[in-house]
Amino acid sequence: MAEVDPYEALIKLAAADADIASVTGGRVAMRHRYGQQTGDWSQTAASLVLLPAGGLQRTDVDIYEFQVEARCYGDTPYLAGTVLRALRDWTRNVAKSTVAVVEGTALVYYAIIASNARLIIDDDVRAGEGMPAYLVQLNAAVYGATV
Amino acid sequence: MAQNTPYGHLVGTATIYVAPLTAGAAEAEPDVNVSDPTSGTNFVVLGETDGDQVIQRTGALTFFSDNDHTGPRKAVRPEEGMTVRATLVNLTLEQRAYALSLASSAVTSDAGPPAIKQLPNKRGYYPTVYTLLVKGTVHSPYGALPAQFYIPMGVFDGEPSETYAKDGRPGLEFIYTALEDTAQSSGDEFGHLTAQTA
Repeated sequence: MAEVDPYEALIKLAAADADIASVTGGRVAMRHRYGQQTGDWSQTAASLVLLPAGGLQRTDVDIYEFQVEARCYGDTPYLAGTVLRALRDWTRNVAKSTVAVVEGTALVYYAIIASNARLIIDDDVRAGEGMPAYLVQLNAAVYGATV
Repeated sequence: MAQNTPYGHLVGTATIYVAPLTAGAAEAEPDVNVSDPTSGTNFVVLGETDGDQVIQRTGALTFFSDNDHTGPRKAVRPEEGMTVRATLVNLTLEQRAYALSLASSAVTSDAGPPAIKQLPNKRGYYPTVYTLLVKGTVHSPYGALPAQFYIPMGVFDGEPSETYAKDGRPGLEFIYTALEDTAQSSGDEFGHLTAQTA
């Protein structure tokens, strides 16, 4: 038994989904890599970024119940929408799902989209033009230790 | 860490299946590991529900005490029951017929034109008895495995109302109440909960 990183578990579980992997080309991470010096993502490539956004720690039962801001990036709003739909479809299948993490195997109880999407143009990407991204809130729960 | 039972925490909703009796007998329980209980049986999906799905065991204890003791000395359960409550939001006439404990044959159709289906508003003296199966794909506390409540006989109770709104949708809140099925084994008259372990 070892403590797990709940965000690592959620991100790796999402990245393991075939549809999400297909529409994002495997670009699923906690922070985007557009314009980075190393591991740069193409300025037109779609991606899914899952940012921790608060929540609860149920220490008595060793469960993380947390929110994540999901940013579905795409070259156009339409392409950002394909990432959003893949994300939405994936959340339907998350139910006591296990995933390999650094410490061993993590258990993700659920990941549920808790808000409708908001379209933003992220000006931190593609200076002067911005990059479309759909924002949704995910509610998720992960067991705090390996199983 | 207080405990180490990660799979004992149950999440997610269940799918509710309903089956009519056959010659007064309850529909047999499918194996818990059957992914589609409708295959080869008379079970059909009751329909999408919204909100909480509540499975309740009713029947408060009656306690007896005597003059020699301050606390109760004996307890009995003079009555007991079991209910399943949820709100049906798939409101086809066929699904409504179940939630109103009408026979599925209560829905009639006419080719028209216009083609129509009809469901009577009057529910009648005798509610139709159904077998219920409440199945969760990961509701077993022993792993990411299924579990199911099987209730051999019961009726859809309650006085459901349909509320229409400009920014809302109606749902039929039903209370399925178990009836004792004396054809079942002793102790299983209300059915049982089955959880897969491996």
